[in-house]
Amino acid sequence: MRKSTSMAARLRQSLAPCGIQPLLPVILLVTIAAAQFVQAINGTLTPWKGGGFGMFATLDSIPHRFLLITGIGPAGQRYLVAPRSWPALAHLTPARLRAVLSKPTLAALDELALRILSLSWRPEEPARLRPRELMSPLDGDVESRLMAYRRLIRAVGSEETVELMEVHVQVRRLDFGHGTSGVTLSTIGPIGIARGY
Amino acid sequence: MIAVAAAARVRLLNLVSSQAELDLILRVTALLVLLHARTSAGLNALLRIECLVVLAFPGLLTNPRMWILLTATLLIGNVPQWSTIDNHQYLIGYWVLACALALRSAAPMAYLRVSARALVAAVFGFAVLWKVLAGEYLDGTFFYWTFFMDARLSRIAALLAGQSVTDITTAAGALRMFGEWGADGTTVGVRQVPGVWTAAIVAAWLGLTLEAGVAVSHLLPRVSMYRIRHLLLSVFVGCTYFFLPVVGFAFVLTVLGMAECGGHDLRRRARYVVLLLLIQLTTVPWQALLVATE
Repeated sequence: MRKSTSMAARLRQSLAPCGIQPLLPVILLVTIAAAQFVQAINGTLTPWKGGGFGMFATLDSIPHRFLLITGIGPAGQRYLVAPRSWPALAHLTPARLRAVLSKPTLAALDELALRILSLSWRPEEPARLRPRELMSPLDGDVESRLMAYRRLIRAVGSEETVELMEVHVQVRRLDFGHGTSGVTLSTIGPIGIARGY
Repeated sequence: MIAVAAAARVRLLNLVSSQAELDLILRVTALLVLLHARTSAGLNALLRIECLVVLAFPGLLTNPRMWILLTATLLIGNVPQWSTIDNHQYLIGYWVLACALALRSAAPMAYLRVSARALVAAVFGFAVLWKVLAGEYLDGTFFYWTFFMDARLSRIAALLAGQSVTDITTAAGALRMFGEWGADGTTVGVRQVPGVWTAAIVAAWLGLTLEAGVAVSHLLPRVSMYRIRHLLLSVFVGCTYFFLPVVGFAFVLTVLGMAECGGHDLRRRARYVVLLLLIQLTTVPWQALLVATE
């Protein structure tokens, strides 16, 4: 009790010249950081952004988040919309892309999906992996990776223009496990959907 | 050589003492904003002009309206992009606000000293909180994967793993491609590199200990903590940003440390001026000197 009184006295002494006013900027910092903490824990905001000082604490950062845009054609065929098509199709500037990845909201994803749906689109083939990359020294389980890439390569490849009937936009992230538990790709937040008539 | 070093030391002490303490802090803050603050694309040029005006006209340096204008320019530009700007942009904003409010108070330097210390304590407190609660820091997972995925550390990773830099960057590129194109829910198996795990755990605990030390020493109101808190803050800035060069963050923390110095502590203030110059060297690609096969 005596010790706490002494500490309080010291605190009062250090604040004496200006009162509590010098603490206004830090009160603002703590308020914003606490709000960021809640949004990052309960929502989709990356801990690295939003003023909560969660950088260099978690791997859930913008470079480890990815946008996936899937189109569905008239016959129900599925296409992956390649990242190099995004700027032209959705006016997706790097700053806008960062904002979507940092905090994916249903409104932002729906808006992107609607923009892409309104345009004619020609499927493009993604860059293929070279054998050297597939045999990366970090990768002890080449087979599962090969299966994943076979699935994606099957999904693209047409040269004809396609009128999309439906567009899905989602944000995914790499979840890095401890030890040999591997790296998993999972969806975070809502999926934006736009449908044509 | 010794005579030149002694002369430089005298000149440095003269620099920090000849300037009024408040002027020095406001000048380096204006320099900080000029070099490292960001606002919206449309306001960036205006922000730079405001800083140049503050630096060029000594009468405006201590004018609170000028600092309120700087705060408003940062605020208007950064609120719409709150979810993408870096954390040190927030900290720069809080510090410029502190300068504006301090200049309206009866004792500006006492105001800034308290604000600077409280801001450092809060920043490091939240940084420690995240590291403890995030769930992937304490066991080394964060640094293990950062060594491989962060291009700034790829040479260190190559050296630790006994692999070529090309292998490391190729593996990181392949994982990014997996992120863009892989099927949902797919898991890619990985082989452990024990040497990197050890380094990751050591780096994690060293970082956490240092950050917790800075937070606690700034929170405790003990006078005897004065030296320790300055020592820990300087070591943190000097070591951390040498490996991960975020010059803007290092700059704002150094300015806060400088503002915390006691009125007569010229030597420590001079050391912070030297640190400000040294952190500019963090952008030098020293990792190229590491012997790692390409």
